[in-house]
Amino acid sequence: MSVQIIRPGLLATIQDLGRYGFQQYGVVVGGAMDSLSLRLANVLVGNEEGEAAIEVTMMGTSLQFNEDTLISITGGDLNPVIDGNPVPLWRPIFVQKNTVLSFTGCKVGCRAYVAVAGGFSIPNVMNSKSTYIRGEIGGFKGRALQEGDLIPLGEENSFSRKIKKVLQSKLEQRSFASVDWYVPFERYVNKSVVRVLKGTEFEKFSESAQKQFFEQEFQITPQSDRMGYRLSGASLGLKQPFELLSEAVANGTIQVPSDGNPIVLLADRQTTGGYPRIGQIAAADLPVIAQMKPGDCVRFQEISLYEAEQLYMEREKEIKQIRTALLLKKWSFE
Amino acid sequence: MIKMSDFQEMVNIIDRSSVNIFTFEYEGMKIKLEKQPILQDKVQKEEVGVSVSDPLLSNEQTDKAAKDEAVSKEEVITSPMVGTFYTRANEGEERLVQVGDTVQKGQVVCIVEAMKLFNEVQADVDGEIVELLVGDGEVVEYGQPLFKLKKRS
Amino acid sequence: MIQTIKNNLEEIQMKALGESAITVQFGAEISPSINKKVKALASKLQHESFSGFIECTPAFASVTVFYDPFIVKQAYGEKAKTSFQIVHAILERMLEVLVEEEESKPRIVEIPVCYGNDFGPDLDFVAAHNNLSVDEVIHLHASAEYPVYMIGFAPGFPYLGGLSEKIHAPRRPSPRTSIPAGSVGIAGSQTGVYPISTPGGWQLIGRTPMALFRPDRDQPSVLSAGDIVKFIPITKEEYDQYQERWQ
Repeated sequence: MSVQIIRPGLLATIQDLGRYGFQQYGVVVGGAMDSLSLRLANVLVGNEEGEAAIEVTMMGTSLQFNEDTLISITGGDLNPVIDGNPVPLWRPIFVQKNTVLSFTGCKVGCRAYVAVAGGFSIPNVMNSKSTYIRGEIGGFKGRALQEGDLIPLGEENSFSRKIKKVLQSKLEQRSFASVDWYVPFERYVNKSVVRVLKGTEFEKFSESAQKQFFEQEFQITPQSDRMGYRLSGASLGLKQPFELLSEAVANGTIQVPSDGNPIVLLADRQTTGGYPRIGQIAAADLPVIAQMKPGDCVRFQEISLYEAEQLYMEREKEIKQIRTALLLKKWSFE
Repeated sequence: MIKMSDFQEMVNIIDRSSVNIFTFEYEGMKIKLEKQPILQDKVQKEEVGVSVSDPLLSNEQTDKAAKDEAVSKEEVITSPMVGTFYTRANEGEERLVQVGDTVQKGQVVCIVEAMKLFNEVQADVDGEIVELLVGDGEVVEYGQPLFKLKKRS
Repeated sequence: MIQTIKNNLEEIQMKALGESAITVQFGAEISPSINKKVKALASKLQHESFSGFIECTPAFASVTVFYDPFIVKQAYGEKAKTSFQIVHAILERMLEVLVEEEESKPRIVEIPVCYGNDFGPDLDFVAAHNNLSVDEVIHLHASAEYPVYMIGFAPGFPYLGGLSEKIHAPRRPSPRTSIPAGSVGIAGSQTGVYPISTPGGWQLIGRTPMALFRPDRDQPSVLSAGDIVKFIPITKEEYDQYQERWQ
């Protein structure tokens, strides 16, 4: 079983939840930009949440399934089609052998995740299948997917086989079939407000910078990628310049270099940084920023550490509930 | 936490499955369900002439004799499960249907949320929506009427 | 000799880096005594971690501890306490008595460097900026011992101390979009080696054929904090030989 890349599009890579335990050696964490969508894509096809999936960026990607396969598509709505028919998101989908799935445009968000039952059978590098392009490690041959790549699939479990069988019987004349239920997460994709905690050096910024940071809109510039987004908007200055020793940064750290334009550090961020940090995006809203694309505007809303932690807990409970609900769905097929 | 509506949904699913004994443990809570070994009847579906499409899968239409008889008569679309009723597929979107809309067999008319999954409810006859019987966000029971529909003659 | 470090907790700052990490700051300057504490806490966390601990990133004067607040809360759940408070308390207890790692002789890592020409396009600039000859720059750069304070920024990238003041040089006004792996550069008072190809604004003076990042090894970085680096000048021929041998 394998997936064949017909066209890679703008950028398609294999990602999982990232490479942990090696930041002390300077190894970037990487992984899916929108980890929530990746986790749910996996849950929907019966995989472990952290299995690797294909992260499709913006548009132009076409994949062919060389066997009957159970898949799911989550994240942004990049207008996926099969034989010209739109394919629904956020649910398990059965695709027949030799079906071609194409992403034809950015309707909502900018990153979609394609999970396949059984995951991808590719080697782990430092405990992860994530592609880190700059370091040329992980994923498929340490690089972005290219035309003609054949990515082997792993073994499906009983849950996947069960859903696959039921859906196969629903095919009728089409080359894919789906269910009439879905996980309601599209609402997280199309937002423009991101909740942020005050950063480690927040107090060192000028009063006007502190105010502008939470009151004004910032635009995501074209100099943005998986490593980070450069923003334009109000120039954020310090009360007075000071020397900062390099120390760890995290996913969603918002740092401000001397030109005053903030940079949001994301999945492929460096492990440490030396610029003052004005904010830290709450983990619950990392998927929101990850789905924004150059040209989009973002506003930062202040929340407390306590609130951010509550949001984190709620999100985890929600995912747990969905897992339970899906187990029940499996029994209901029997 | 598992809500009462989730629990009822669970019972419904077990009830209609081939499972006879079911134990479930979640965050320190334990539930055991045991079915009576009697023949299950599935009356409900036939009685209401409109889709209670199988809660889990679409396209599972049961053939109804009702089809031939009723000419332009009022029907209801009922809820296939216990859950929360929504008129929109996603927050901020248009309602799936409005009163006065003509719907076709198989068209999704509303959503019932149970345990964080959104379940699509379909019309299984062609017709016109004449009344919305439930408010957005209300909890609905299994089999509860959701829409009144005038079947197209 | 094993020494214990008694910490005055008032001198240590613990700051949340979001809801999933805490940075423990031992001070605000680069100093061997502070860096010792950094190493001691990082090693303690490797050996006796807690439920929900993901990893830690040691830096010049701080250790950042990454954790999963959901698992922390499940494992140590007290109603009134947040995960931040729980991890904060765990770290405080760890900090009370830190055991300094046995002061063994630091490992000396020799890095062969081919200076100048295509490998070091900015060598002339660094020389001119400091009113030195190219050979003097090479001699000064290759005769010092550089302690590794931390690994960060990029895989295997060492932050080195000890660059001679005579060869300090400002960063390039605009960064190069891609610097080849192995490039040796100077930026301000720092010198370092780019283990992978990245964009960067350092003045490049040479290149090493040695791979400082080895993703197939258990310890993917050749260098670790605490090592001493020495640069050994080599010729272009030697560079090619090394590369053949190592590939």
